[in-house]
Amino acid sequence: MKKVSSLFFLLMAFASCKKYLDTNVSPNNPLYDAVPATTILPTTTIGLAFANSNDLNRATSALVQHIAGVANQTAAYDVYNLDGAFDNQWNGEIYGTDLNDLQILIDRYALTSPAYSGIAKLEMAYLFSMATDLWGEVPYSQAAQGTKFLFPRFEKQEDIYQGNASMGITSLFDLVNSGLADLAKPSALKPGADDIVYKGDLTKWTRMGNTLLLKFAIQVSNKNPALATSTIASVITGNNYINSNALDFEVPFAATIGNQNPIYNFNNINRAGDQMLSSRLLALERSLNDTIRLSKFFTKPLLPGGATGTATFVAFDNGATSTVPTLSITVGGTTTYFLRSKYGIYPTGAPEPLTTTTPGGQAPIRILTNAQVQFILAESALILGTAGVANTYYQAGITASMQKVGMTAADITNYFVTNPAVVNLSGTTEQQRQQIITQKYISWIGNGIEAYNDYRRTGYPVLALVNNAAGDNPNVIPTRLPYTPAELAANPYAPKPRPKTDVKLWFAK
Amino acid sequence: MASFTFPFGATGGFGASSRLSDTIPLSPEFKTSYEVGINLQFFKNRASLDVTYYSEDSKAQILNLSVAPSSGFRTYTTNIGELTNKGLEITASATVIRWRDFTWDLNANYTRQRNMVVSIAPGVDNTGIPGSAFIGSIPSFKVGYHYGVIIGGVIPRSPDGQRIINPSTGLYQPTVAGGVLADPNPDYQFGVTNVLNYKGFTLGCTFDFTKGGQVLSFTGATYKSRGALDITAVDREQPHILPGVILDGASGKYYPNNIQISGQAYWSTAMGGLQSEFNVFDATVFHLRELTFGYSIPNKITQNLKLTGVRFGIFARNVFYVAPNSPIDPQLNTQGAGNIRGLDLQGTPNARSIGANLKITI
Repeated sequence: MKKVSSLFFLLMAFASCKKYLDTNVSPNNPLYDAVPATTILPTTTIGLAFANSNDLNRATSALVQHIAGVANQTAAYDVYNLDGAFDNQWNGEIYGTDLNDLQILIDRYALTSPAYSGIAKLEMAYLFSMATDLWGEVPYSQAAQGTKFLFPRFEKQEDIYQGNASMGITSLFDLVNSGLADLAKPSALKPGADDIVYKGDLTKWTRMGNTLLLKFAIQVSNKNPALATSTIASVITGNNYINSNALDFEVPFAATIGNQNPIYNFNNINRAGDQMLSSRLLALERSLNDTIRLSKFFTKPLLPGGATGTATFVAFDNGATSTVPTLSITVGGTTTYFLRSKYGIYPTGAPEPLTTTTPGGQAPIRILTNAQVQFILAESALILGTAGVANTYYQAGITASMQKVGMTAADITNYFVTNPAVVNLSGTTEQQRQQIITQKYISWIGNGIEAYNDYRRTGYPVLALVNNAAGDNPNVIPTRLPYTPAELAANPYAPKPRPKTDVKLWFAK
Repeated sequence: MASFTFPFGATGGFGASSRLSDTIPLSPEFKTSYEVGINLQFFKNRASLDVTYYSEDSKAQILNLSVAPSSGFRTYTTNIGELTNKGLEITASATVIRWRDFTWDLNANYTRQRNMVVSIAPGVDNTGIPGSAFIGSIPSFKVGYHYGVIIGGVIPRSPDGQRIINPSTGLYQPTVAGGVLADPNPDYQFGVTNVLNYKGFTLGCTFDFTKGGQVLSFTGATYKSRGALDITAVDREQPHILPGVILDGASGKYYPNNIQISGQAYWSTAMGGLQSEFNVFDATVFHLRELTFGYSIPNKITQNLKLTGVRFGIFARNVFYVAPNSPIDPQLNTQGAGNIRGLDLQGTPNARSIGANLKITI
């Protein structure tokens, strides 16, 4: 009996907790130090793509008139009612859930595993550029560092892009350069499958970083052409940037529920009735005989029956109060076909004819592309005189975009043969620039943020005000987003009253 | 709306929580409290008066401090802040009349409380009180203000205090966040309970009166924006001009607003916002809380029935209220128990109940 009881006691002792004092540690919230880089990196990469393609994308896609918002928030954005929006984007997609995690990667791995801190710096530079491109003056050098700065100051866009030594602000260019330097260092840990974009191939990340430099350079080219020229010239010389579609920086998603890209999720599932093709984009594409490419970006529902009929673009004029075309038709009591032109196979991955249950969402979110690079180099050759022939880059950009969306080689060749006036730059420098940016604008369908950046920087393509415009100033297409309520409420350094949406950003034309 | 959930194929993902905490452990909260009181009895205990004055000072409170979202986090749990609370409570009770079988008992109470947020944390002017509220109307601690003021966007004003109009729309300029919209703390509260007895009959009534305080009413806002309040019916087909001034950019001077807008835009867009300063109402209210009437059958009869007592009564609760400056009963708190006050988030109105009871004691 004695033996049995002591054995029992022994069992009890082994079954109990290792430590008695861990009752205050929630197993559902593991200490952050215990979370490895391999788990943080996928979160930040998906987060970056999510921020780019969710509500900010919808708002900017409506502002540049890729889409027309026809219901709910997207309809409000369409007519410039932006006040009070984007808390979730600022709080939970950019600063929280992403920049803070990137800062943790940098803090923890810069010394031992710079492969991770290097990637983190590149992703961070991209996210900060997104924030300042949309809002102008934003928290930057003090942002996303937790208790170090509970109330980060707002910093000027010119300081964020160019740096300001007296205020201790590192420029976005130098942040990228620092990331590139980290990538070149020996690293104890290296990403593999957790790098969902490039699968641990750091040479591709180096190309991504150099491409970021090109993007930033062209963005500041109105205000600091010297910096833009030298940066672009040096990237061209280094010849280590995204120069083929296979190298594009695009974040993968999947058709599995929970893993779908936000464009599909919103466009096809959650809010299928909120947005559709803008009739203004349709008119532009028809004027360029470019409807084959448009049909990859937007669906052509079969009219009138849904399952059968003539494939037709069904678009809507931004801000119009006329009746919106019927959303869908149910055939045979089972399948519901969409009857409006919605985002198609290229942005969503869902094939046509589109129904409410067509699986999709596996299309990647394209952040930096070969087509973008070609257009940047074309514009730079034209405006800044950097190396290369503008027309060659311009045609390479159109070709890259057409190949990327899935046009056949025959269709592309045919387009170039039959539309020489479109695919060749001609006229004044400004007219040529308009051609370049208009093509770039088409290549960015599905990524309204980049099209919106170029629009405000160059004024192209020329867009008319929407019908029934409202917002801060109904006479001006908004040139910035209003600051978000939570940040305005909680941060004493936020500009108050907030600048109105007609106040131009530093980089703007 | 769209969301993403890990795992992504075989890849796991995990991010930081939105709440920050100190590396040092939290300490207990400290509260210093002084209280003086007096209790007086008169006329062989027929009347009494109880007066209490108190002063409290609370420090090192454990708070989830709201931090700027651009810090990468939303709240910071720490020991922080100082809050004072001073108050006067008076309770008086008396048997006013005792004559033959008739008695009139009266009980009255008066409460007056003044609290003040002295400090929160260095550099922090305000932080939300835990509880569910919408951004744009958050019950908060704000330095130099009473506890629980509701912070939200207020319309910017000219130097002489007039609201500024957007010259391109004729509507008010976008609100400036961080202003005090409403202060739910009343000046005082006063309540009286009367009980009249005559033989077996009992008549009781309870009323209370709250002076001051404010409520932000989503219900009031909805009534207004839908044109259901009386004020919105005046000349509703005519053009309206919002009271306010327009800034002339060239001269830097303000001139009176002269932009006509529709009645719809006037009441719905400009003044009908749920979180608008135009939908903060004075919460002064008089309530007749309860009215009861009862009759106890005399013992002689109950004894014959071999019962100890039989009592019959009718009652009415929430009989009526008078709120001179509010379109709804301002003592409506959608949030129920908790620390959040002064918000009517379109809650159901307080119900009036009428009933009867029969009590038999065996």
